[in-house]
Amino acid sequence: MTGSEKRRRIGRRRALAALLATAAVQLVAVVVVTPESARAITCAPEEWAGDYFANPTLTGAPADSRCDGNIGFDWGETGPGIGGIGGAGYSVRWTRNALFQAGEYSFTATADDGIRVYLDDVLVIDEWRDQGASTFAATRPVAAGTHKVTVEYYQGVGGGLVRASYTGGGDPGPVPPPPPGGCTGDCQGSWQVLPYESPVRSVHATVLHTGNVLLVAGSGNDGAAAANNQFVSKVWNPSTGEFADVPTQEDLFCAGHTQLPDGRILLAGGTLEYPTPTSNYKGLAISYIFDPMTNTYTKIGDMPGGGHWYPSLVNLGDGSVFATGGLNENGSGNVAVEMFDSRKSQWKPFNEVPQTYFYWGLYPNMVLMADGRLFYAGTHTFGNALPNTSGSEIYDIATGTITDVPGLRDIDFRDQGATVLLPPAQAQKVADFGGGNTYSDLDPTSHTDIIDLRQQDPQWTAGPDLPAAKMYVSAVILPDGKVFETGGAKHNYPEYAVHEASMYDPVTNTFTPMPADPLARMYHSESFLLPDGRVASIGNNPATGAFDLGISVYSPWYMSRPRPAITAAAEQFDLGSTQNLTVSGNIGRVTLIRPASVTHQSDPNQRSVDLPTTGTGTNISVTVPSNPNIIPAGYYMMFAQDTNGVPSVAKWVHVG
Amino acid sequence: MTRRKILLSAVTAVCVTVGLLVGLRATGVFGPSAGDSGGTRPVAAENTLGAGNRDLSGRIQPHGNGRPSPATLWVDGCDHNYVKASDNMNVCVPKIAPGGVPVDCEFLRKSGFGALKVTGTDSKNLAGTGGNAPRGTTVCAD
Ligand SMILES: [Cu+2]
Repeated sequence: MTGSEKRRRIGRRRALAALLATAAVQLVAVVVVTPESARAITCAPEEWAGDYFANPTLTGAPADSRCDGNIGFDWGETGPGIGGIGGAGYSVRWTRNALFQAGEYSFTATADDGIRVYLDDVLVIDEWRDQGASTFAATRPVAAGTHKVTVEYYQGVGGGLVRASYTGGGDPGPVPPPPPGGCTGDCQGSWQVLPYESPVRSVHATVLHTGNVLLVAGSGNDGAAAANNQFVSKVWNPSTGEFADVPTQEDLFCAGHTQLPDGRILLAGGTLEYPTPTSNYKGLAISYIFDPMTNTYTKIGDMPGGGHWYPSLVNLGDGSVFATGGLNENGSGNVAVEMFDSRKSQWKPFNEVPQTYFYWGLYPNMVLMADGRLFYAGTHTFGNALPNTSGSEIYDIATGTITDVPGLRDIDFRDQGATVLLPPAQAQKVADFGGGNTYSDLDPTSHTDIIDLRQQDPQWTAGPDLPAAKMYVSAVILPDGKVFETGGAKHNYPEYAVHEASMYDPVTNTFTPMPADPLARMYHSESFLLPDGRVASIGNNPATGAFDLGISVYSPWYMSRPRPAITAAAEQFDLGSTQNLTVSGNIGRVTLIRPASVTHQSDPNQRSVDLPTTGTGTNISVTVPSNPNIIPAGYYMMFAQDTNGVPSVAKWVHVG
Repeated sequence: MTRRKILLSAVTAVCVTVGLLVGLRATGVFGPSAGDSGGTRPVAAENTLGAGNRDLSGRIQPHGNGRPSPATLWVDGCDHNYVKASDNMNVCVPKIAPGGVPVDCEFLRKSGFGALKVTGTDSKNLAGTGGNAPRGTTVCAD
């Protein structure tokens, strides 16, 4: 596309936006049309009570009723298969009373044929007519509290399809003040290479709420191990240096993983086959749940969209987990979007998840935004930007729509660059650090780019250069509000290792050089925050096929200072709640950091959330954000930082 | 009204790039225009498009309900015609070496590779026989 074409296109987009704004203003005169209430069936609070009518006009008594987990049905020409209803001439009314956070909510519905959506009996979407499948959206400000949502749908003739959902409470809240204090001298910290090696090729590392770390190799990039069904996982106790074995039935090498709302770990995908002279790596569709209390895996159902070798898993505000990307069971790019229902511990059927067939590559770094959409930051392990895109997009899960995000530099040099949602999460700023191109003989980039997702039409802006150009970059949020970037290489050979690390300060937007990891950290390496505030680095798998089992641990400046402490707090933090903490030290800031679940330098769910704090002395109160998109459910590490900037060790709390 | 007929006729051969979707939205190809829906806006084409109607030319092309989609062979940038000779382990002989240097035994040795075994085609001519070395040939042995 030429520059002028692009400008014309943007111009059209602006014209459309103006038109939409006008349309929205016209709606100020509110229409109140009270829909009938659903028949008395009792459904769980998060479910929809659905009345199914054997006529297209919602008339008379429903033929049958049932509870639906979500509204997402492609009934085609066969119909819903309930109450003797066939493929044509039927209608459905769903209602649900749900707890809303304050803020803008967007409602979206796709239907063939007619659709209406009401919020508290007020029409939000009114598209009641014969039509081919069409998607509609509307946004409304919503006050915190319980609200009734009603969806009405009818099917005339032909294929029937309906989807409806809403996302919102998207207000990220005020931007928290900068962290207190900060290091004033002797700020370099130090590395220690542990006296023992890892008994596992740590391709995947997940910090558990027990304080242990799940390290997964599967076959660990060793085709012989795969051929012999030798799959390895260990649970590492970083305090004692002990490793517990975890029986591993299938090859979780290059799976995706993340913490579920209840603290268990979801692992999905893996290696079906190593490459041959005529084929790629091939992906498995398997998934497992790991229980940190028993150190065991339980196999659950496969992902319905097929194999994923290098999928990214992203926690959503409603507790579900989004997955996409990687290579499928044929070694081709898997473009399926998968959705894991954490409540039912199963994947939703393929046709109940909006699909766009867009491809973001392998381990695409996608960050949950405050409004529930996903931000693809343009970094990934492998893959170039799609033609005619800016290499960075916002993906609306509910509608399956994609919005191009301009301004990212080096879009085809972002393989194994780091992406991090900068602290605090409420600021909604994302940074990309470095990256290279696996298919190129050229060196990687030192560029960093930063984006403020609070802006109406966010675009990337240039950040300060990394102290060194590199790919395989790890970025770890620290409890003092800084981001530690470490490891990397120009290319995946030992002599190209880049021994460089630095501290990024989101407040001053600067990098300060720090001591480098004594060990090389290239492909299949990862770095993550330990609950005591140190950073562990593990794994290294250069092109020769060697695998370094050394573990190095970085102690930031604050590890050598007197530490404040959280001596008492509740174990459960509900969204929007106020919590009392007993502390020692003069506390100036309290944060919740999501424990790492990282592979290939990629942890799309890494985030640090500030908790507004009141009171001084030993008894203080903190407020938990009410927006689940700011703090998706799960266990978090809570740190209290004193007015000198020194953080405590973590206290584990469950949020949501 | 049948969905598939309408959408397939409207969207066949339409590029998936967002700009084009926006363009189509603006010209009202999909759904009603913004004005007649009282604050609702059509945001996108129905996205369960059938086979072969989204051109992602360049990298990965989904087809057949979006999957499977062909990916570049050896998406990891490695030439998988070779394994480590000692234990048949997977290695990453680069398709292209850093700085444009030739991928030959000298480069591989310098980069820490030991002896390799040809398991496919000797695509890098490491045996020095014009790429015709039979499978199982050990190359770059010392
Ligand atoms: Cu890998």
